[in-house]
Amino acid sequence: MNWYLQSGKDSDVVISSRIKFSRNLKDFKFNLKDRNSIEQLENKIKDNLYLIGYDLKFIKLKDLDDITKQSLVEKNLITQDFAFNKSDVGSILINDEENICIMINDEDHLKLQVFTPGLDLENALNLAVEIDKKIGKVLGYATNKKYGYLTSNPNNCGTGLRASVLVHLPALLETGNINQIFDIVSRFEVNIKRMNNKIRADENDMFLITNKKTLGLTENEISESIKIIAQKITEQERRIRKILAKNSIELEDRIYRSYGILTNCRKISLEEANKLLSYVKLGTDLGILKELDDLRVQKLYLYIKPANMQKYLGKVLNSEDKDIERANIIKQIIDS
Amino acid sequence: MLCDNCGKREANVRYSESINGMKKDMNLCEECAKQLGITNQFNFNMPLDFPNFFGSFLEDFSDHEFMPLFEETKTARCDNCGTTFEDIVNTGRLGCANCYEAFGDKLDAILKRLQGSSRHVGRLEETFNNSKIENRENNTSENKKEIKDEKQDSKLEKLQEDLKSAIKEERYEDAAKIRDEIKKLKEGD
Repeated sequence: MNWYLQSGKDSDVVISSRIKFSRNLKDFKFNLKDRNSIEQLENKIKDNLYLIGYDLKFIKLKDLDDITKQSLVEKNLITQDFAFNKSDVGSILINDEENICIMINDEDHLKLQVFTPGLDLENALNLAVEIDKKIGKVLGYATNKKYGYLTSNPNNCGTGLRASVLVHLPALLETGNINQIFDIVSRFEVNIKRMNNKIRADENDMFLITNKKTLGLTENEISESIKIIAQKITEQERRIRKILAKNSIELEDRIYRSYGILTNCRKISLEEANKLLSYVKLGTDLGILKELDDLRVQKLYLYIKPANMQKYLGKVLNSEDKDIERANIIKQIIDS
Repeated sequence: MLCDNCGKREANVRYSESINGMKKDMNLCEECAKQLGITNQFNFNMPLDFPNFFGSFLEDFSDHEFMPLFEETKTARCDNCGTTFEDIVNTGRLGCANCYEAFGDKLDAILKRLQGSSRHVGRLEETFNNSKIENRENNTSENKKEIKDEKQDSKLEKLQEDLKSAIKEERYEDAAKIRDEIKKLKEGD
């Protein structure tokens, strides 16, 4: 089963963990633009794929239709910018479980990403390092003793590591305590941002926590500090949830109203579905809402997004149809 | 009138800027104005251009003034990919691995401010040095040794710098002492 449909450690708050390494191959310039060198780079990767292993498949962005690319973006496997602005030069290496996804020819030659459900940066880091060592051995990275792994943006050099954790913080958000969290977190070398995508009208109560610095700290130090901050935020979110749950009739009402609309609506926008689903997830995580489980909540989050929806149904939809089909899919998943 | 910057093309953009009371007027051609990012001045709807935004930090951190940077660094060029420091300032991106060597001095100052450090620590696979890779695969004790090694490296670097300045300032006695210390450090390895 795909990693994003599973639940992991601290899954009531932490959705997923990601390790991302920025890497460049030696003997190639950064940011390749001419056809020839891009082909050389692609061939070098393709020819050595059997040595790298992990059942990675090489796919050119050019060979994917827009819905498939958008679907990868919606699963947070690749960035919007890479999918649509680099579609002429970019390609990906991806496995069937989709927990390993390497973007080729983005800002750097390789953006090696490993994902895990829940809070599990250690395992993600271990796997990422294992793959990284293998690729480094086979393809040869651009490194330098002083600056570590060399990246096109000097902001990424050194370890080239971004460790991120995606968290669901409805209670902190609802009570306005999120600002305090932002305040405290900003004192550490850590970024926290809301996963709002205005372009895709995809607003939700998810936040991404990522390290700021990549140089002068070891991989373990970076991953550890993100983990600790994620744990602290998780504790706070749970504390507020408990307080909210004390006034249980208010919260229960909200959760069941949301559930009621989701199960009975005949058409629904992504924006509304996201809002309601956030309460439904909160209800499931608190054990208030017994009708659903983790897996189905995860599925709902995934398949209400427009491209994933069209992949799920296997047909192209116009925007009016999307809202109708979204309501159908939600009902299907809840009844499953 | 010819462009104040390139002196070749006809100037058709007039630009004036006042920084800390110092007024600067320039007549530029369209191309130079574009390169200096001046034509975008009145486009209020322009979304933030992050590479450029970042690049302007590079500029601020590198102790140059507005025009001198543009002139002087025309000559500073990475001999592998041909990227100039000006390109890096404009895009916020380096051109190739060699740029890190070519612009090392300027980068150090910037990295210290951006990243709080200009020296990598921890794992670094060197593809063709197997013994090193093995070293790094064994964790704790080897790791400590590695950190010690790195400390020694930076100490050595500092001593070598001291030695250079001692020689330059003709403090030969100091130089001899530093030389001995370097020798000792190298032998102790």
